[in-house]
Amino acid sequence: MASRRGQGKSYAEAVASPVPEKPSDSDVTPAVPTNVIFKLLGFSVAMISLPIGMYFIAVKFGASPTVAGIIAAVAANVVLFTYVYVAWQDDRLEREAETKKNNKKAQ
Amino acid sequence: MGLTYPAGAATVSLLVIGGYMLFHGDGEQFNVGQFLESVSPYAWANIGIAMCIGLSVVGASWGIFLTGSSIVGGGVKAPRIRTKNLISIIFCEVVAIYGVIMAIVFSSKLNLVPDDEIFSGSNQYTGYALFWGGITVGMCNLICGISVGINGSSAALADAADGTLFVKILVIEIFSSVLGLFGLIIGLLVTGKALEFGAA
Repeated sequence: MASRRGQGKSYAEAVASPVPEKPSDSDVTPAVPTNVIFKLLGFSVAMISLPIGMYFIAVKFGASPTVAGIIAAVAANVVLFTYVYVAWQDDRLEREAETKKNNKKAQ
Repeated sequence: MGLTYPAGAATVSLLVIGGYMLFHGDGEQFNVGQFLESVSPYAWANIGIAMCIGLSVVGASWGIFLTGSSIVGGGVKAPRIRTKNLISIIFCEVVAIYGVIMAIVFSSKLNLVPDDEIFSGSNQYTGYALFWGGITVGMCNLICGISVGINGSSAALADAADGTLFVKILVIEIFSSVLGLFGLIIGLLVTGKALEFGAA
């Protein structure tokens, strides 16, 4: 271990000197794209606020709590299936882009 | 089994106290009906509401932790997290929302009534309806959340292995998320006939 320091530089100098930049081989692009995260956050907020908001709006317009509960459950499912639809659409677009790229590569 | 000794101690002490009361002419104090009647309907109603939201959140968080760990694990093989990989998270979240909705519906029945009126028949009925309705919704959502979570975990791993498998497993996940709706419907029916505290 002692031999590692014997390169003419003290440890403090080695730390202070800038690290030589070399291109990294590893893939450093974030694994989760920002738009995916914002989509999840947005739908999470909608999932909380929409059903509960629908419940209180329905109660305010004179519905009984039972009917308002049904409306809120339906609203939660609407948000859920909107998310499934958005995800499916994203997946389709991505797949189409991939096949187009593969076709171009094949030519 | 660390519970053997406490269970034994509880059984023995119950037997000793019960035997003492029985052989000293106080045996009629073991009265389940009296116990049920003397517990305040407020207590039943509030325990029901707490069970409803609490068990639902346990189920949802259990599902999210099963799914989330699999998404992260599958991400090692296929580091492409897209919108479709996170569908399972939203499916688990909706289970918790069912519990929140039902807890709000139940708590709309709560009301303060004067001291001697709380033990009327209508109030007793409301208390029991909220208690058992809350247990129904909570238990259904607990099991539904676990079911969705295990399905979602398999979906994440299957997607990491082969991207075309995801949609097929998603269909099964939709079926398991419907289970929570059954509990919600029955909870609404059970408490639908219960009047507010003090309404009758």
